[in-house]
Amino acid sequence: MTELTFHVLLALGNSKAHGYAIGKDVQERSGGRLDPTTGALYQVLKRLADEGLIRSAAPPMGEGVDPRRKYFQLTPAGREAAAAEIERLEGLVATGRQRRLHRARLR
Amino acid sequence: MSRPSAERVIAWLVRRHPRPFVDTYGAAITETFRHRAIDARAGGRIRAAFFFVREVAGLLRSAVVEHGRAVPFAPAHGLRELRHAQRRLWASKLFTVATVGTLGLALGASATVFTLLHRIVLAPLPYPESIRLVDLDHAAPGVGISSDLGLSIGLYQEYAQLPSVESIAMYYVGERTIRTGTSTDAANAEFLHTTPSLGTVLGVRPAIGRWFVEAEGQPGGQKSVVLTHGFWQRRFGGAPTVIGRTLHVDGVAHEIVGVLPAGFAFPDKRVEFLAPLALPLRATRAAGFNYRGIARLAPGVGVDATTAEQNAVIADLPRRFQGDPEIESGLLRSSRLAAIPQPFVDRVVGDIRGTLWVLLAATAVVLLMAAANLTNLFFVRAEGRSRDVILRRALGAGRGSMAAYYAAEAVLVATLGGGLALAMAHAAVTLLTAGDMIGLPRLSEVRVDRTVVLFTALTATLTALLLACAPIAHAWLTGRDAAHLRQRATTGGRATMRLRRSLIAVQVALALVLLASAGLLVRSFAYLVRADPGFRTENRLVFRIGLPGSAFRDRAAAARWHDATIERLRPIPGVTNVATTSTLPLTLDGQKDPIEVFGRPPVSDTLPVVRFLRVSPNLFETLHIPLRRGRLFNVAEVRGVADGVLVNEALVRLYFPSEDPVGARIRPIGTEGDRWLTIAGVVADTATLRVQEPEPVAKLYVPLGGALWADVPSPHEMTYVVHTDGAPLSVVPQVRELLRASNPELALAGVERFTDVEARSRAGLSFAMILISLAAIVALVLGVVGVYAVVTYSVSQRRVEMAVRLAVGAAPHALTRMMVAQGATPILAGVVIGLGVVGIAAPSLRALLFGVSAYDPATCAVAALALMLVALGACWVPARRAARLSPVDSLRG
Repeated sequence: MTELTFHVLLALGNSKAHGYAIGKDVQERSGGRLDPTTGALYQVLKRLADEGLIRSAAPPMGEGVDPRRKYFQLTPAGREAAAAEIERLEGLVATGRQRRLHRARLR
Repeated sequence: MSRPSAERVIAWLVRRHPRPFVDTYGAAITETFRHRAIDARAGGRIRAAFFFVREVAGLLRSAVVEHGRAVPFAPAHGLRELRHAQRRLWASKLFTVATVGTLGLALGASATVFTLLHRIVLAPLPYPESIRLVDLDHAAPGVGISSDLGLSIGLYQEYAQLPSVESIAMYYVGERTIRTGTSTDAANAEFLHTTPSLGTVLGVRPAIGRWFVEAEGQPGGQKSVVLTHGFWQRRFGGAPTVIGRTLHVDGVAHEIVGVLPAGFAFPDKRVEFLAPLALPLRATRAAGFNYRGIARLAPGVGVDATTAEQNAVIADLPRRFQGDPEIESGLLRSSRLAAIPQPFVDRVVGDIRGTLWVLLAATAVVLLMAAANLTNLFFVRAEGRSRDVILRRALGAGRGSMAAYYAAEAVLVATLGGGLALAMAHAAVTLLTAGDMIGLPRLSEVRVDRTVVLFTALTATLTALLLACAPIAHAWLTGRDAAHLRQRATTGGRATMRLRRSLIAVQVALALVLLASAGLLVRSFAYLVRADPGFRTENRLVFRIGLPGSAFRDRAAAARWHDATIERLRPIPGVTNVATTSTLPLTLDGQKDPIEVFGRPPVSDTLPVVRFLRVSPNLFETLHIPLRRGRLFNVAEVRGVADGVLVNEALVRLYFPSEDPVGARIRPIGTEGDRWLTIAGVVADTATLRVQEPEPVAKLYVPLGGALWADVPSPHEMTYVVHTDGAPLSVVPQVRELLRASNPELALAGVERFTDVEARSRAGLSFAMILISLAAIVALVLGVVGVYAVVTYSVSQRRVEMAVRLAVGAAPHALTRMMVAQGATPILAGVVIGLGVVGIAAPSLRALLFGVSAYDPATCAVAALALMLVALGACWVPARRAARLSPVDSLRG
């Protein structure tokens, strides 16, 4: 799973969101390191939808309805995939710490 | 870029994605972009611009990827293989530059010649339905005229009634002295004298003002002119108020009524303005072929149909032109006059058609050689990747995947080569059209257009396929055998080597074809350069002076004026001699007709045609044309009191093959009354239109002021030849000054060195010779490089074998001889094949050759020998180098 894909799943972890909000979330959480173009972002969204990890959603209650906005939410399979990726990363981090590859921090 | 424009661009890019993607995500993408753009603008213009560029690139990429995913069975690795191939080519810069450069040059040469061929020969003329336009020409084989006789007023008026002819026009190109305002700016200009119907025939309308009306084509009609666009720009500064202004033509005021659109060049770009040709209401004679004709055929009518109708008119001429003396005397019948109309585009294109097709064939040969060379290089590259390939196949890569792996580099090389070729073709065409160095017809229409781009893309694609086949064939021949990985390469794969030796033979054959062709052209050119035109041209200035009929009513006055002008020009410092002639050699054909000889009927039905020239008495001295028999003009003949003339040797061979012509009486055929011209002397033959004429043309010379009663050229328009001590152009200012002082209404035309006139007459052959010779040199280099590359590779593959032979005592020179002998087989095969192709292709070169046969054995033998020596040398160098290596180092590898 690519880093961008994982961040998109994270952005949808708490609630449904539209494309603009997902992109902003990815950019802020990665500290500006990930800044996908609109085309790249929607390619990822389409692929995740085709693989059944996300699906289209109705707009949240209370928001002004802009018919062009498309909302997405995680599917159960998507939650599973995100959880599996988190476990994989945790395992890698643990291995790295074991081999003293992490940066030493001054207490 | 404004916000609405940016969103329009993004919306357009979104629509470039597959339909299902656009339906599902299109609106959302546009909405997301709008919000992100607002954020970007808040960061300033530069950030906004950078953001926009990134967004466009991102959407382009996603469109390509989504389309790739949408195509069923598309190679899954296509784009990825291209990226990997790009990295591999970038890593091998020398290979990439060599292959792209070679292919680009070869494709560029083909694209350039194709551009010329397409725009000059194949593209229709720039008139509506130009396929219906025909040139109205006639032949008179009975008097030795096979074409280019032209049209007469009588036949023009008859043809206008034919059902096959929708509209018809008649014209000729002449030269007149013009003046726009004050008398100080008199100049000579080429003009088109045409019936007003030309506008209907060509379907052309002026950009400003109007075309001629029918009334202006009647005798006594209003004097008006229409200007060409270039003339209007040069002489009137492009002022729109030019309509209604006056242009003085030969001292007569003409009203400017229209200006033609830019690009109009009928019959060619030399014409500067047009004037209406006034015809009599009804011609009284059928002959008088002093014009050219053009007709627009009725829809659906072919050239054959109109030819039959026109020849039916000719057969009926005795009934239509009763009382015509040329019909009643039987001259028209014995001339066997026939109509030979042809598509007008053939007249415009002329001889260049054959030359361009030959050049395209030459560039195609060079392209084939380049492709063969590159195929060899790709083979070598594939050999170097053998292990990589076998591993991929062992790990399960399918055929499609392997094909994509091989084809990717070929596609990239061909694409880059094609791009380079188009850039080269554009530059070459710009250079050719700017300089007009070779006088090609329709040059203003030549440009790189969509057809040329398609042609280049097609040839690049075919080349890519050929290049891709090489490594694919190599992979197929190598097979899946993992044992090959362990095998020490000794022969490098026998099947592969056989294929590559065949490529060598093909390259050698093609190189021989080009070398032999270039050799024949070079020999022709050498003959041409040495060919003696029969007169001297160096240190001679030439220019024309035309006397207006309005100021010089009779021939005697015109002749006296030219006599006086010659005397005025003689004392100019630096001038050795001054003469004048009605037709300068190597420029025009001039007036021509058969002659009759006093006291005898014509010896056969075929009456040979003679060119008539009016010349000042010292022309022969000025041009160094020797006298062969009799004498030159005497005083009485120069003054017009006696009717003596001179003839050339060709006329004597035709009319007096076994008797002394001096004293014989002759005259142009059809002359009435009892006046005859007496032959006073015979001068040597001279070239007429081109230096490389197969046979000298018969000529009759009349003195400047003599035989004014005869139907020979009038002295109104004469060309001067000024023989100078030094540079001919140095006397031009004094000549102009003297002429202006004598008559300010007159102007010099065509002022140039006679050597330049002579050089132009040889130019056509030079163009073909230079280009084919260049192609031959490139082919030779490609062939040698190809042979060298194959032998070098073969030697490197046999390193171990050679080391073992050296170690057991073989002499280095014996090894070298062995390698060279093995390399010689495909070279000899190529030479034999090449000689066969030369024999088949030779007739296509015949039109370009002069003084040498297309099957000349000496040229072919020299070309074959030279090629063999050079190719064997390319074998010898790497073989000798390998034989001198240390056996120990070779075995160590």
